Amino acid sequence: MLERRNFLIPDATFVIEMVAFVVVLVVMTRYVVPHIRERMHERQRRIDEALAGVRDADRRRHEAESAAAAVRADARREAGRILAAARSMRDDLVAEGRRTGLEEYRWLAGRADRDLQRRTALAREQLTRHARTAAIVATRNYVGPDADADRISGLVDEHLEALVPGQAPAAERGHVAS
Amino acid sequence: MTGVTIQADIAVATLAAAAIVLALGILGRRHRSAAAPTGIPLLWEMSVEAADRAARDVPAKARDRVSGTAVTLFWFVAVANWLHLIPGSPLPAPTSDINMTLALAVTAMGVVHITALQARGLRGYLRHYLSPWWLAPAKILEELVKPLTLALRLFGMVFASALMVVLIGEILPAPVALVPHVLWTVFDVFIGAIQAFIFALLTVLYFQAVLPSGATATAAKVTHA
Repeated sequence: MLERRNFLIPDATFVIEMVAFVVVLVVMTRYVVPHIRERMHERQRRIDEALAGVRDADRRRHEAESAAAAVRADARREAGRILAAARSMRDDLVAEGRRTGLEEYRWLAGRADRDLQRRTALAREQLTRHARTAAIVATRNYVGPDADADRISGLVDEHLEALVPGQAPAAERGHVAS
Repeated sequence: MTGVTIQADIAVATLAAAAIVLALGILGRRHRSAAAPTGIPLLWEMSVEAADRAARDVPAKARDRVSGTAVTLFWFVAVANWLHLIPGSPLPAPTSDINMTLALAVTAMGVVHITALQARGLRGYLRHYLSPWWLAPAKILEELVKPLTLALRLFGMVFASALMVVLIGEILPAPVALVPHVLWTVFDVFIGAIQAFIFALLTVLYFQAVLPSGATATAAKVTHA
């Protein structure tokens, strides 16, 4: 006759169940779960390292960008300084050129003026001398050899002085007469 | 004449569940650490991570044991709950028998109290239950009831589920019973996972109830199981 069992009362199966679970529990907590946890931590460590690498690269990129910006700013400042110096130099050179040109112009103009005066004086002297000579020769041919050379020269000088004042070379009269 | 009664089908189903869990554990353990996990290793890692998160308030030295116990309970109970759902399986769900659920609950509570003893020391452990002294009977009663509630909750759910399958088969004619049977099987998968989760979560809560808080832990004495 089958004995009816109360399903709420444990029997000897309980021991088998407990032993089986304890074995599983020991194996899992000793060999499986720690290994899985270690693997997860290892992966997390690698992810953290990769993220740290990314953050480091990002930081270095920011530093490089800051350095590049600083270099650009320095270059702009230096370029501005060089440009200002070049402009200043250009202005100095233009002023110096103008000054030098003006001095050169003045020097050349003065020299030309002096040369003109010298040539004018020489031409006047030659003209006076030729006029005296011509006047003396003409007068002596007409009047005779006794014509006074100094007087003729004086007359010529007076006429020439009337034509161009202050240009008569009176000192050479005797030389022409002789 | 009454001798030692052993329910062979439940015992075999329990051993099968244990073998399956161990095989799954070996599968989960063999995954390469560099590659992203998929399939069974991924499920293991998810469950370990969830257990670690649930156990983060217990002392650090006891955390691995708490988490490992919770993970083992979850997988073992889940596999045991689903064992009868495997197509063609002649084995019943061992959790539909009180022996299994009571063995799980008693073992789990045993681990809880051993861990508490190691963490607090005998004096601290006793003081935990005797202060205030007038609440000691209630606390002791609570500790005695905890494994019973754990066991009966799981047993009741799985037993009722198995009973529903039998009732559907008995009450409804075979062609009509197919649809409710399939629907109930799907629901049974869900209920099996939920019950496993509840069992593991309650165990973690019981650990937290008897262990000192993480900040003031004297769990340095605790050694790994």
